[in-house]
Amino acid sequence: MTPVELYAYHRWANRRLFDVASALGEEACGRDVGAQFSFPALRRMFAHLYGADAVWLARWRGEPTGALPGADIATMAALRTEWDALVAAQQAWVEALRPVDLGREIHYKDTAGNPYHTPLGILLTHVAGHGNHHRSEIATMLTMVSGPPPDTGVVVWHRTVTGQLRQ
Amino acid sequence: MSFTALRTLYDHHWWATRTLLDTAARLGETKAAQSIGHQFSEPSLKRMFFHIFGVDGLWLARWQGVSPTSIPDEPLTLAELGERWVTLEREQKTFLDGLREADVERVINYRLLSGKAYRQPLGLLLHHVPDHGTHHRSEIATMLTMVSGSPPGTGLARFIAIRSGQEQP
Repeated sequence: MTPVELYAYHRWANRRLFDVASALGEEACGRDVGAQFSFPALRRMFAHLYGADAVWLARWRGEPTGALPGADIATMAALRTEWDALVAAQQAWVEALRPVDLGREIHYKDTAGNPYHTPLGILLTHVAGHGNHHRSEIATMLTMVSGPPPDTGVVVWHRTVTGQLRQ
Repeated sequence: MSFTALRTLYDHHWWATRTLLDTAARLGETKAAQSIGHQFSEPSLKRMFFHIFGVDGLWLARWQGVSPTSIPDEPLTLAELGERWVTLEREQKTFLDGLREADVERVINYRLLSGKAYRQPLGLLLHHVPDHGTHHRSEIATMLTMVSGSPPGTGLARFIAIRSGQEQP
């Protein structure tokens, strides 16, 4: 998959689950579902996805970063507004990449201040994989709150966009 | 995604799965087989690992032009599954080593276990298998947290940091 395809899929999968959760209402999305998850509530888990994507975009651009943004966003509606702006910036940045950029070494610090360096192509894949990891938790949380959500796997995305599967 | 990057995805897939498999194995066979809850795709750690194993095998067959109509029998123990996984990993490696750059564009025609037919590029399907593993490893991490405590992180960035000596295992 090219980075453009990978991030088209990433946006589709995030949005698909966000819409399912939003339809349950703000109370359900703010409810504590369990400490076994990385974050106990649906809204907080989505805010983590948003915050991680925002920090990684800044690192790719070589900008200074601090704590992940989004932890204090109070509603799904407010999160959507922030996320839509990020999605547009992330999409534009990914679509402007040239193949040679993927091998470029990105130097960054994690949230604890530890320095790392990794090729951009790997980090692009990492961020999409990070989304996949937490969407899996969201799928389990949604199952507990209201029932299993639709599949957001990459093969389902491709079957959908190529017209082999109707949603 | 470059061919080298695709291979890195599989190195990560094998490492991440083995890391969690070893963590689960240390809990013993009884805990690995215990039902943790039906909110998960599979109710026990052993069943969840077997699902990843089974699906990896299904896709490997489909890439080679065979659409299986059933999955293999579930092993009796997590230890037995771990042994069978060594063979499957070797077969996956052999397949990946035999690919040329142009093969990722090749369209694979396959059928699901239900018989439904699809056609998708090999490159996308090669990406899907480790991605599918990540999805279910996330469930395994939650299950392990419930059973014994948070397992080690198995994200791609951590794998690369360890492999390049920037972080200790």
